[in-house]
Amino acid sequence: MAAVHEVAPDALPYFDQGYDDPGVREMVNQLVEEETRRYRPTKNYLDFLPTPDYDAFETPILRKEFERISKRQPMDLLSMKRYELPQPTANQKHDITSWTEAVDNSMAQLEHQAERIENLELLSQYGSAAWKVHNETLTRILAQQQKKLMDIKKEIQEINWKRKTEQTKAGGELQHLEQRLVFLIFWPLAVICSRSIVSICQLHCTIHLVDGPFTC
Amino acid sequence: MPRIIIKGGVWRNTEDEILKAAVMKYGKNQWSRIASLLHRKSAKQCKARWYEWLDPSIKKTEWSREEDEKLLHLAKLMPTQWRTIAPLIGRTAAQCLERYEFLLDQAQAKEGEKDEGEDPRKLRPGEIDPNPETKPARPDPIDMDEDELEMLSEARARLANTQGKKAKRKAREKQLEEARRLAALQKRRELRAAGIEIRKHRKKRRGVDYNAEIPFEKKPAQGFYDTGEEELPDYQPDFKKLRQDHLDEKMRDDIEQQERKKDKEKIKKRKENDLPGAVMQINKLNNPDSVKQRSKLVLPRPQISDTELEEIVKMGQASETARLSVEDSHIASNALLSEYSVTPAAAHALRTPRTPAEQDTVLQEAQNILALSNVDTPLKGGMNTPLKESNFEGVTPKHQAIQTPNMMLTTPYRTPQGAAGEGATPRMAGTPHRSGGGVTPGRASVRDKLNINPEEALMEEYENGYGAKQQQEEMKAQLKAGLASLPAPSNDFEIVLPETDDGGAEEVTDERFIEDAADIDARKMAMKEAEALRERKRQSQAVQRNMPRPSDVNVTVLRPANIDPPLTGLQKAEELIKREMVTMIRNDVVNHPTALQIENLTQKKTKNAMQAVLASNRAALESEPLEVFTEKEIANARQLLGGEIEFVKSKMAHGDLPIESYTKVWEECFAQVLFLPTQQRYTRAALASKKDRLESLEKRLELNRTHMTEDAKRAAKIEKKLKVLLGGYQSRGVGLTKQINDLYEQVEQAHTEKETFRSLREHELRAIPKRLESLREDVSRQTDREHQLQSRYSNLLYERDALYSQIPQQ
Repeated sequence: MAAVHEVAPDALPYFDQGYDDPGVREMVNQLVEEETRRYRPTKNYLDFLPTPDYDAFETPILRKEFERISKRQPMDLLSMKRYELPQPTANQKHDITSWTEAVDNSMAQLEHQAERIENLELLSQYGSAAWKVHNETLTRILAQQQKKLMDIKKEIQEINWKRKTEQTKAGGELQHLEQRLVFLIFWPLAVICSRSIVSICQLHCTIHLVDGPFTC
Repeated sequence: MPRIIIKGGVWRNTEDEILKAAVMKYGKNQWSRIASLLHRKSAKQCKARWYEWLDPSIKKTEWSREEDEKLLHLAKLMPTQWRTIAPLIGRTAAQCLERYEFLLDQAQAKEGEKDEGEDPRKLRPGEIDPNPETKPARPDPIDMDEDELEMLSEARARLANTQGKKAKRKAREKQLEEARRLAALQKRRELRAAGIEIRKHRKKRRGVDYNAEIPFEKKPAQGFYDTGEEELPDYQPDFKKLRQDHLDEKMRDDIEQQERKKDKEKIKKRKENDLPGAVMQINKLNNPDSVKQRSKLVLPRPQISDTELEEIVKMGQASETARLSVEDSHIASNALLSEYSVTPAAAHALRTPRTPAEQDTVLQEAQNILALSNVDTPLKGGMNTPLKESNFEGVTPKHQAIQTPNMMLTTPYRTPQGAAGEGATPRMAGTPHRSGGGVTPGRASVRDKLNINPEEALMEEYENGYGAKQQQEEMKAQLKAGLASLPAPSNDFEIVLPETDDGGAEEVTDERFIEDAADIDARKMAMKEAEALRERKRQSQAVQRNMPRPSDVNVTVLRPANIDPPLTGLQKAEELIKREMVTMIRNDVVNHPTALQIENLTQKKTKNAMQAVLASNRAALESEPLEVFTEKEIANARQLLGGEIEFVKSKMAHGDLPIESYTKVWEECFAQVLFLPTQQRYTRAALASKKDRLESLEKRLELNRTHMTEDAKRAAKIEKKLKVLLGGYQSRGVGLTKQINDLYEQVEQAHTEKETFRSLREHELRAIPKRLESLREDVSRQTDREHQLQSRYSNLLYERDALYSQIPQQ
């Protein structure tokens, strides 16, 4: 089977013709299908790659999450406690510690809120500039990518161009040889020979009718 | 006895019109027929009227100067031959004669011999015009005579006659022609329908096409001014409805009355609809204070400002005083201090030369003719009549060309100039030099007493050549001659040492030295700043460090002045300190309000309370003013305090307190501070009951909640604003990111493609020689086979030939 795969295709698409003939495409597709069905990749076809390190970016939180996912447990609901300032429950109404807790919580959250406002103010001050810079960077990246794409496309074109020139060059020779071959094959020399043999035989007969028995 | 009617008299408008129409109909050769239309005019008179007045080729414009000249000249050459002269001038004979007489009258009036008030040729009442043909027509009266009307209607009927033999014949011919034309048209149409194309050939018509051209048309003569481009309004009046008032412009009075009426109506209407507005407007109009607002008059900035003008005047005065100070009018000083107040007389020479006065040739000629006509018989002898320059040279009068005086051809730079005219023999320069610039050649500067300009100019002129050298030498010699008269120099100097010593002089300069205003200002500023700094130093520490400060003073810290157990010494001291503190805080409250205080003051809600607090504090401060201490005192006090602190520290064995422990202690203490909402005061937590503590906590939570909602609202507002502000950027960023991602994908795909094609190429590169090889092999194999066959065939041929050779033997 490996030997079969070793066969390298020697098609020269820029020179050869007949790809567009009806039926050819179907035939090719059939061939490809057959090939895919037949193709059994060996187990170690990725041997040349280094063994992957799956834990490179794993943090404890990620690991925990992976565990949770593997156990198919739902995600914990987001704690909304931060966004409300609850009073102590009714049965804790007279508990000083719970009240203190509530007050402390409120203080902490006020601090959070203040921070949030501060951040927002900073954003309102520098946000537009930052966004502008960000967008500029993005546009630059875009331009780079476009250039890269263009370059690659150009390279592809160049390769194809080279292929075409090479193939047409070789094609000329091939065609010449093929014509010669066809000429040689269909040159009816053998027929002529056989005819001349027949005529010779006839001559022999005429001679030998006079002369003697026919020997040829 | 037949009645004799004498024809003639002034021509009327109707008569003129009839004559013109008749000439149009009958031409210019049947004057008696034409005259038969006009009862009051003879054939001769009609002809005269036509040729003297009505002919459109007659020029009725003003007489031009050339025409006048020509007329006088020709009259001189051919006296009284007006019929000969007239066509040469292009006027009628009568016009020529009239003009001639007019000109002679003028010449006579000029001489002042007969000074008559009015024109002698004007007709006096009762006189009959000898040649009415040359005068404009008299307008028709509104009520025309019976016979005149009759004449008019008869003329109209005859001129527009269509019922006569000839007219009938013409009409018949026209009809026939029309019928023929229609038949021809029909025939051609039918032929064309049948496919036969007959080219319509125009019959060459003989005679004049009266529709296309006007026979014997003579355009009216051109006047002085070209009226071709005048744009006349395309006015086609409807004569049937036209009245005189339509032609006249509206009377101004009528227009004004109409406008007034309109205004009145407007005011009335306004009064009905909007009485207060109308009254207000009337008041406004009657109010003398309401002056119309006018925009400011904007003039361009003067090119020379007032100050500059003053400067110039001052300069002039200065030079004047300088001149006056030099009493004796020395020549040298005169040269330096020229007088600018009066333009020197040479300025007359600066006038642009004007053309020589032109002689009135027409008048002169007229006077000549007059003189010749008034001459006595030559038989008397004596002198010829004195004539002014008059020529009989040609048919046309001689023209006097006015020449522009040539400034260029005058001798350059050497015009005689006032006093400097000694050496002013005009030099004849070979070619007049054209100076290119704005210098008027031939006119040197008027006040050039130092001879600066002309010499330079001369140098320029005689740049090349002998003249320059000579000029220079001449100048040199002159200069030498001038300098020779100077007295010989004698080298005796007198040196006078300064009397005062240097130091004194320096001081004097110091006193005179005026300090720069900027320096003074800077120094003042520095002083002010230092003062402010010192002031700040004097303020309390809280103000200096801009710390939070109370907005009111808590007076309750002070103990009542006289309580039962008298205060101990320590308590008294404490009390004193507290009092001082209260005063200081009061001072701060009044004089250095915090930001919060100011905000409260500006806000409506808290304004009154705040002001009350301030007022009470101010009153208290006035009763107990803050003592002002010098810096030294403060420093002393600080030193004392420091010493005390050190002393206490060492006595109580306090070491350095680390910040952590300090913070801890502070926090514990702060936790003990508790606000009692019911009593509106702070207290210690340890002293409060459980209920109070709970209440306090609840209150705090409540307060925090309100803060929270406020903050949340604020944050939401900012977020909303930011969304508006940054939304565009965000969306653009998202779009860009998407594009970049797409591009990444494309690049990847393209890369794969590229790699595929490359490997394909490698394959093909390997495939090409392989295929070539196999083909070549095939070909060579076939070639071998062919060779074999060829040789075999040749053998066979040989054999056959051999066999053939055997056959003929038999």
